[in-house]
Amino acid sequence: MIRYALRRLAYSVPMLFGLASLVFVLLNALPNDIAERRAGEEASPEAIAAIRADLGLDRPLTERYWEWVTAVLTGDFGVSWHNGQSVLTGIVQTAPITLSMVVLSLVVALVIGVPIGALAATRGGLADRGLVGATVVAMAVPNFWLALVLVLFFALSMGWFPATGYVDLSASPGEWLRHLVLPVAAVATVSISVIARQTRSAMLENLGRDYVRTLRAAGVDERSVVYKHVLKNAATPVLTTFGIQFVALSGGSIIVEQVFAVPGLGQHTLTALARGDVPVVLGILVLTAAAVVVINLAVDLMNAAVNPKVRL
Amino acid sequence: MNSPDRPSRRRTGSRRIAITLATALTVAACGGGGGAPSDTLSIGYSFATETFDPVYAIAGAQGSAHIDALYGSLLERGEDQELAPGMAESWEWTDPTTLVLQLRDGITFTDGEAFDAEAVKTYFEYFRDAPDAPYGRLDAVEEVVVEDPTTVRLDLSAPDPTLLHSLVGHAGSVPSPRAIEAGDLGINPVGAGPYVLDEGRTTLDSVYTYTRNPDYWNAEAFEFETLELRIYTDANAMYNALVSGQADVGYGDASNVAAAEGTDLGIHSQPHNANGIQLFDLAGEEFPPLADVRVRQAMQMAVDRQAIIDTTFQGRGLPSVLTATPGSGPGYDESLLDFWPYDPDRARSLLAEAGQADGFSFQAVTLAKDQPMAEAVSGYLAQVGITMDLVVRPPGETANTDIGAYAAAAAARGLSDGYATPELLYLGPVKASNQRGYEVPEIRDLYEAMLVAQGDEQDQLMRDISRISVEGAYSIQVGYVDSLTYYDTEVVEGVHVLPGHGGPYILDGLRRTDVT
Repeated sequence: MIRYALRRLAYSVPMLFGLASLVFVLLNALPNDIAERRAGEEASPEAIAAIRADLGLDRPLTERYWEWVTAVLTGDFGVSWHNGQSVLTGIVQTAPITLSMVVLSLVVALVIGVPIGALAATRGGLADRGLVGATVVAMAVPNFWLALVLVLFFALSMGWFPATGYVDLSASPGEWLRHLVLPVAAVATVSISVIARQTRSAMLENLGRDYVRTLRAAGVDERSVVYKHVLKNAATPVLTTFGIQFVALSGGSIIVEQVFAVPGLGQHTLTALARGDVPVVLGILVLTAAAVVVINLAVDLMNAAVNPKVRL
Repeated sequence: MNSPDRPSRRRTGSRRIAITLATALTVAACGGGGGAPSDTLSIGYSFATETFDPVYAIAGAQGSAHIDALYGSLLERGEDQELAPGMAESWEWTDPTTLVLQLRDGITFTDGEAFDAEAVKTYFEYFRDAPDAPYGRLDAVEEVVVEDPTTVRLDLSAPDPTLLHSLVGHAGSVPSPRAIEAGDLGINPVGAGPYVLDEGRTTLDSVYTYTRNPDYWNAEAFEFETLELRIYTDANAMYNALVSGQADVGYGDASNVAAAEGTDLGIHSQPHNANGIQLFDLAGEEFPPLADVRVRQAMQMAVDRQAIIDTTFQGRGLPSVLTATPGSGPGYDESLLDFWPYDPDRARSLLAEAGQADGFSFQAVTLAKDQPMAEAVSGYLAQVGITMDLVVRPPGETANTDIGAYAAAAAARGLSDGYATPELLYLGPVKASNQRGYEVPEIRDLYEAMLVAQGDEQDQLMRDISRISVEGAYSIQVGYVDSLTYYDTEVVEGVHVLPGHGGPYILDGLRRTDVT
């Protein structure tokens, strides 16, 4: 299994390298000129040239690319063109915020989604149709719209939760949770539905299998059949979905972060993009891509642990 | 195989989790708030500062908030916009090219360095010599002379009526000379201003926390212990933060003012940006009709300004043909506001006189944000036979990127400087609103006279320049659009916004509500 993990990691190196190179070229090929933008409205051509030289933009692309790649290999992602802050510092400050939102959303999605799916699969009939219908509606609701409605009702009208912002977990766990309730609710809704539907179909598939008939015939308690055997066997596709949801939520949280003014990685990315802050955008993309590789690997390993049939 | 009680134990387990979660959420929902709110002033801004270096920081109420908090200012503005002493106690023009500043004694920077004439000289030279300073206005300063520890003399190469105004702005925000030398002022600011950056409670681009500097020369004027500058890039998030009390002061716009009126928020509104279409091809290089003053005058009369303000800006503005904003200085001459009334018939006959009865077309560039205004103008021009084709800039591009390539551009500008700089007055060089460096000789003469004139004579010359600019119809102005500031009346008593500015300044713009 360790060899498998190492092989998977080795495969991802050229992929990450290719992705980073492509993004580097694309970002540097953008038509709008960061130097002109930084120079302000009344800049002289000399001032613009000075900024360009300062940022190293007057040098050939290949030279800059080589410099960037060698620096990144030593863990140096450079500094922001915008405010001189280290790219890594910016990511370290914002990523945990998005991560806490995403992890909390996934926990909520699992805690709510799996029981809903199990209930729909085992009960059948009206309950099944009702729950499946509800998940379709929940999946169709755009998360930013839901976010706006949640703010309007729970923050502005009822005043139960703050409308915007974020408090660090270490500063106040209660406030941390309180600030995350609405964003998490907005983000998790789709994941709850996806996980519920996945659980339902995986369980239905397993409930029709021979081993279930055998277990029932042997007089095993129905609860035990469902929760111990079927749910465990249905876990593989659910776990895979879980991994996909992790990545999807990280992307989907960008707009929700905007609505709640949560200073996470999503906002950081959007701001850097709008400013044409190439080093920051590059750093975020490379590190997120690396994170996705690691998460997918972790999901595969977890699958193997849960289901011995998955051979690595 | 299985003990029969296992599933039920599990259920208890999951029920326990559910109860814990519910309790946590309830505690979370009920908690919060806390602390004495009046000790902290939380202000919402729509963009983060790029840098704490006053030479490079964006000017205007939002950009200057950090600079004012960190460094204070040599000169400030009083109630009626007149210049007032700041960290400079007094100032005197000994002749039109020599300015003497008397500094306050005994001020130190927060790193222990003395705020004295040497420090001011170090900064002025740093400001003047910065190769790419976006708002550099110390070009005329030839030499900075330290006469004694509290006296600085500026020897200018030519008279500069904008110099004192610059000293109210970032040119007057003096950082510690040691911080300038260190070369990282952009991220490690050190000043002698009313507040000090609390790095531990600051996340760049999100929230900037400042704590009061008890050693500031005028510390008693700043009653809030803590200043939180919060960034809300989304206008809706800013509004929600204001309504729910997370921010005490912030900016609104036409989209939420009706809703804000139904809340307890205080609303301050005043005319701000001048919106219009700036014409660059005034010499008629590509579009010859634009060089004919009759054609340009016809364009002025083709536009129903009030209707555009009412529809595009929800009535929140003031129609005007002027570019200088209300109260910004003598250039704002009220009698000129309606110089070109809406008269499409007269516009058509002027066009016919100019040999353009069949109309013509030209191209104008616009940012997406100015597009509705530009389209409205374009619609009115079309009714007299003039086609203004709009080229919409892709998002992310700024107003000034290569706009000189187009014949005209839609713009929303706040021209607050009473004694406007040459580039805004159709006197070369190639700059923002005069992309092709068009020059009006009559304005040149008046401008040169104004530079050396004083008092009323200077004001009259400025009004003359304004009138000639309007008569020459060099830009199709629509009018001023109101800036909106929302505030919590329990925290601040009111906001004071300087004429022509988008919002209150930290220095003197916000008054604390008396809580007795």
